[in-house]
Amino acid sequence: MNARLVYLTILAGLTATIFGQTPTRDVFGGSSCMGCHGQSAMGGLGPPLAKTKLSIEEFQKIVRSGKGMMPAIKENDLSPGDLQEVYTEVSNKPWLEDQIPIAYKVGRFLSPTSVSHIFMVAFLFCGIFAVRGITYWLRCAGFKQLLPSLAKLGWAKAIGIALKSLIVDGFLVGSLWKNNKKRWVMHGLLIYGFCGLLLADILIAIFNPQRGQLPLTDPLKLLPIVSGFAVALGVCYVMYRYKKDEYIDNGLTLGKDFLFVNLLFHVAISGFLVVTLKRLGINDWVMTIYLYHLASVFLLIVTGPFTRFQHMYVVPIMVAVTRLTEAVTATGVELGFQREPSPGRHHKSARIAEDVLKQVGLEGKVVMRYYP
Amino acid sequence: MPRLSMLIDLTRCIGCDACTLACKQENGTPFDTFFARVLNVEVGTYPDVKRLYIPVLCNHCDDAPCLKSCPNKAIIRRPDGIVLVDQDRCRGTGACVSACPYGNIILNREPDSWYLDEDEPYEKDFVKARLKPNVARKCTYCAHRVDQGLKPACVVACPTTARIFGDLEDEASDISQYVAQERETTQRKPFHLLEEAGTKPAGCYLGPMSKQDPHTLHQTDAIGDAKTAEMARVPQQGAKK
Repeated sequence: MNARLVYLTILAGLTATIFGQTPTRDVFGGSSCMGCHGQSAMGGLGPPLAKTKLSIEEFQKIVRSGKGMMPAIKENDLSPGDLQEVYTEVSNKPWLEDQIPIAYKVGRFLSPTSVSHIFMVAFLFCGIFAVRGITYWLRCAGFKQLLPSLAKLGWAKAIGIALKSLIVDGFLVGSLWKNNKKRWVMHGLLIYGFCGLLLADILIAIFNPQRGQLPLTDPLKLLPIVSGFAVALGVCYVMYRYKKDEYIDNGLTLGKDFLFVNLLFHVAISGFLVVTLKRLGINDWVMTIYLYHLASVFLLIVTGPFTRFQHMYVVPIMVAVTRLTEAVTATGVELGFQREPSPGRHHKSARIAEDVLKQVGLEGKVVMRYYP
Repeated sequence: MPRLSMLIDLTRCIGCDACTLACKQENGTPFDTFFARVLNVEVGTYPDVKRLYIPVLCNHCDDAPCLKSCPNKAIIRRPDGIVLVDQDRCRGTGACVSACPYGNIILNREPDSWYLDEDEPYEKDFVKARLKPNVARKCTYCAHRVDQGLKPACVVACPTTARIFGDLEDEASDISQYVAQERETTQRKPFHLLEEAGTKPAGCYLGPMSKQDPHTLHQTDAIGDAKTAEMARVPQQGAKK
């Protein structure tokens, strides 16, 4: 806002010097209103204000207490006199149909409620396909065949092992902590950054549902900013690694991996740009970039179950199954042997044998003679 | 684009485990590590019992779950279809072990032990340089041999030529010819292990023939060699007349 004011003052000064006259004061242009309502007050993310049909009382009420996505603007930011001025200015602005920007045409469908509904649908979609994915992976791991052994091991013990693995190997990324601290930091920034963003979103939905403007020092503002910064930093390292690491192409998933990394990069950068531009008062671009940010987050969520995003839940789950299978073998509840270089091989071999016999049409009781 | 594949004819397998040993010898795998295994299966109850040998090894899947589950991108699929675990990149996380529906990825938490007290030069210079401790290992389709134009060790060692290796995309390859020939003579079609897993394995199998016609057996003796097949067919046609 201040930069804009300085710029306008200089411009006004120049104009006055050149033409030798004082220009009329443009409070609307100098306020943060313009960012959402457009330079010619024909709308942006917010509705057009030119030739407004609102009474001054209604106008004041909306400005002071906010409405929908519009934050409440207090007297420190806009004095009562300036508010009156803005109202007069916008009421007198001409109605220019062709000036209504696309951002408003898209944005008028968006309120905090509609946005949260859209994201609820996206999360539902993501959740359904993630669950479908997880059942695929558990089928690969032969989890159904492992269940009787887990029952013998004891459910409490099994759940304990699985939870420990999910926390240590998954959430704390134990294997990287031991092997590669640099990559652990990168994973930490992304995982805990994401968790921070998610937590912030939940807290904002509870404590600030109208998304009113908050000071930078407010925990509700600080948490998403710090988390977003962590994600941005993490994703920058991932991007760097994708450029640098010549073995990043594993011959199968490169396209999907790139999609995920790029979407994540766009989400992080656009999110950061929105906050920065808003703080700098460069309002013209805020809403367009905000819409872009929302669209990238939406795409990131709905493509999640099909991109490298899925390794966030697939890897911990698969490692947990490996730990469970190792525990089953180590306690000897399965077949009596206490060592198995490929955990789960015995029940997978039995499954293969049954499948082959079915495919070649042999029926009867199946006995595995030995497991090499 | 070539697609290397291994066809295993269950009719021909006699369960001698020569492939298992050849693999161990070629790859110098440590104690209790088997890339090529032979499952020994009994079906039915006495007196109606059958024994079936099912050689299993990494299937080098087109849509390999091990590769997709690897958090370190240590598993790669070469353009010819061979799926490899990069021993330097692998961190031994263990996700691939569970992800493989066939149980063909080996990850040993204990220190490796070999069979002899002292390393032979082969083990010291070739084997141990390739097999890093505490990381995932699996069959490589003998990529180092394939790159030199050789066939995998298990294929070469099989005394009954139950294993046929080659490029499925190339109609002139041993494997394509064998598949075509078996389809015609014994009406057997190759199948994959655990098709419902959706992994699109490269390895395929031909089922056992319970009733065998000696004439068709005679024909299938010639593997991928059109000339021998022709020679085998001539006296047979004469005998029919």
